Amino acid sequence: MGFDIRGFELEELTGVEYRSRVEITGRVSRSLVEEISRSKKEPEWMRRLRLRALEYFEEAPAPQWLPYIQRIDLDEITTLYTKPDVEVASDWSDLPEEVRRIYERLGLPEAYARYLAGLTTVLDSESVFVGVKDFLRRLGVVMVPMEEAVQKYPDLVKKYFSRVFPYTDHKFAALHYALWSGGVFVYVPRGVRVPYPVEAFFFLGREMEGQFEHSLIVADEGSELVFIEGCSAPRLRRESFHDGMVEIYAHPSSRVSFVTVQNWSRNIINFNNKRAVAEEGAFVEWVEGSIGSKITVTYPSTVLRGEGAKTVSTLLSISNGGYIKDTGSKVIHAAPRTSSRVLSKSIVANGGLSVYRGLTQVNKGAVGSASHVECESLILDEKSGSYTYPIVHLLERDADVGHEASTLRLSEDQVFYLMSRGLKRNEAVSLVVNGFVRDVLRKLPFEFASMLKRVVELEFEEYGGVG
Amino acid sequence: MKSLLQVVGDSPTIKHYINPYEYARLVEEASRAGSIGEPVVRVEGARVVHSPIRDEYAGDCSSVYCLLHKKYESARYDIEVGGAPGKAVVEVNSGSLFSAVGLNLVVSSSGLYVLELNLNSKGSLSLSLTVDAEPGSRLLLRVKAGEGLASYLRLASGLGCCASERALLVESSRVLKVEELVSVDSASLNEKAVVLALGRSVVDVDVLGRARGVGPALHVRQLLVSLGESTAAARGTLVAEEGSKEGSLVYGIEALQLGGLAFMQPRLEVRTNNVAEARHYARNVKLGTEQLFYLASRGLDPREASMLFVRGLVKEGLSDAALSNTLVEEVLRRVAPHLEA
Repeated sequence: MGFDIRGFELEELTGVEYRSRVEITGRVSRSLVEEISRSKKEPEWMRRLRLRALEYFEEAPAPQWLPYIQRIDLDEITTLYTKPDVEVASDWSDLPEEVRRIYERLGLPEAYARYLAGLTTVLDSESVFVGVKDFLRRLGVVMVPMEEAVQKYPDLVKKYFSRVFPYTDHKFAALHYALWSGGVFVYVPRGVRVPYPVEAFFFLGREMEGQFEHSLIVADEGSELVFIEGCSAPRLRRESFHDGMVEIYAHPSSRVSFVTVQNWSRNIINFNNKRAVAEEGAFVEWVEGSIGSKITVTYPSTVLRGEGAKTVSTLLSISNGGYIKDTGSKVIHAAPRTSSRVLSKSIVANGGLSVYRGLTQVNKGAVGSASHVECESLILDEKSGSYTYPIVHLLERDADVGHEASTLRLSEDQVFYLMSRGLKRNEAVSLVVNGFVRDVLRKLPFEFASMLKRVVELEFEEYGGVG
Repeated sequence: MKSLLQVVGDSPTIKHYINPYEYARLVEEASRAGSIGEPVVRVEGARVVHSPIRDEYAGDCSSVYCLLHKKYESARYDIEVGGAPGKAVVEVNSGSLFSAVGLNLVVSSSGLYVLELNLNSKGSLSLSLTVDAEPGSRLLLRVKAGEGLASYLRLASGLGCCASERALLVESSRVLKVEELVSVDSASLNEKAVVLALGRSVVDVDVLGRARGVGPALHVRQLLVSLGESTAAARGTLVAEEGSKEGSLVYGIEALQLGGLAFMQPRLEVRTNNVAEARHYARNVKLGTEQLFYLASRGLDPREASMLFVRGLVKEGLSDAALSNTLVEEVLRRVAPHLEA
């Protein structure tokens, strides 16, 4: 079966072949971390940061609140750094054929040509393609691999790197900082509005491998950016581990939209640490389509630090089969008149489990703040489950905060109604499921919305879908 | 899969609003000092019999609080109330640093019954209350904890059936941990809990509700009122068990902050797709200037408007008029001075 949709053909592959130039294998240790740092020719401050993070990782307890944490055996992940045998290219034709073929099958060259202002693709641990269109350069926007930013813009990177999401937050954040490699640095200068999205695409090609990319986005005052993050992997025989991080710093009156379409294969354990700081009048939007992976743990978070800052999170997770999606969104209202809205939708079937874990905190002094959280789960069969764990902390009296959630089953009444109007059962079910996710799809760029819609149909065709 | 219920408490974002280890230290210190004593229990309006201490607890008893209670419980009483609707008052006093007592409340009345539970000791009290109520009965349980050391109240439905509707009013001036366990099996329970946290107190109410069987209905609504510099927290988990059919779960928390802090965590675990209804909500409520203006334009002064507002909050979710009116009067009596202020 072959679908003309990004990422899905690869599900049918057992692996992709390409050569690597450097592979660092073994258990997580000081010497391994130093080897990674050495191979990247990093400055001393970054090496020290990695080692501090490693110490924290070694001492921090495993987060016991994730009951499936016991299923994650880091010793199984033997390859912690892989540099493909590829020079970073800015032209697709400069990539070796076997690597270019991967991206062609993902439709990335076409997407870059048609509607992206910039594109970075990370293969395992390093960027292999960085395309920045001329108009973006002329606007003064910086979009370079994270390693290059560390070398070229040390002051700028030092100012923001690990400031939004410190390694002391939890064990896996510390692990990420010790081993990070790949990712992208984007800086949008003051007042610049980037008219087309930029994208970073992460591909994890091998089993028993770790990917720890770090993306840092800095939107200066009054700037605007839409950033798309795509993730994919072929079907592997054994597990691989993804522990990525996104830090966003939105300066006053800037707007950043971060769109994720996560379609890892079913062997990937996916930790994705995402956090933004929004200054006065800034707006941060998270859109997360979480489709693939064996286990996904991700809670896009925003700290509303400046007066009048806003954030919106729109989440869609699909857990079809014995897979787990532990997602949610966290918002800290730390300044007056800040506002947040979270909309989460999840669909579970065939023994899948969906967990929503969210936090809304209104700090003392954040007067006049408002937050609304809404989450809905659709359970399609008896074997599946949906848990919702919202947390609301009100340290300020003068705020409006509301959380509401509901769990639904497939409504036979709705299906009957539609069938009585001439639709076949599978068409009726498809319509109900698509109606359920419509609010999320509306938030996505057109190409991604079409893809997600198709994914939903394919994932649930046994219940209805496209038949 | 390991139950999420047992481990979720370790989540970095879910703080202990009351540190259980500090409580444990307090109890152990009392034990070392030989200051664990049997409390004096006085009951009015009900028949009381001394009951042997049993090593069995309805529902889960795995928390630090419950395990300590089990270890140190020194007395247990059966309190039987029945016949005409009425009221009983239970006073618990102790001169010791720590006391633990078990109460089994058996309600055979089908009307409205009010039980007042006053914790008067300045020391720490641990109280395990099991309620066996006739189906169709309505119960208002009023707990008042004056100033004193950190204390614990465990409230469990007995192995019999539970009341179809009940209200819980917890008023505390001390650090108080409340654990409530409720289970419905092809039955229904509608509960409204109002928590009044006074002074500098911290009141943390934790509910674990399970719905099993065919057509179980478990509706829990909590109203947190935090006064002064207090902290009121409500959290818990309602579970639609695997195999249950056509269940209805509603878990709602509202917070009215009159100076204090409020923390809310209404959790829901749905382990079947055969649910008629499963929803939860958490929100803060306040009487805004627009609402005040609306009510003032209809002739109500701010005090009356506030009273009307609180009355509405307290009544929401209760269907029995007698029960909701009694609860409203009790709450208003305590909240009114603060609203005026």
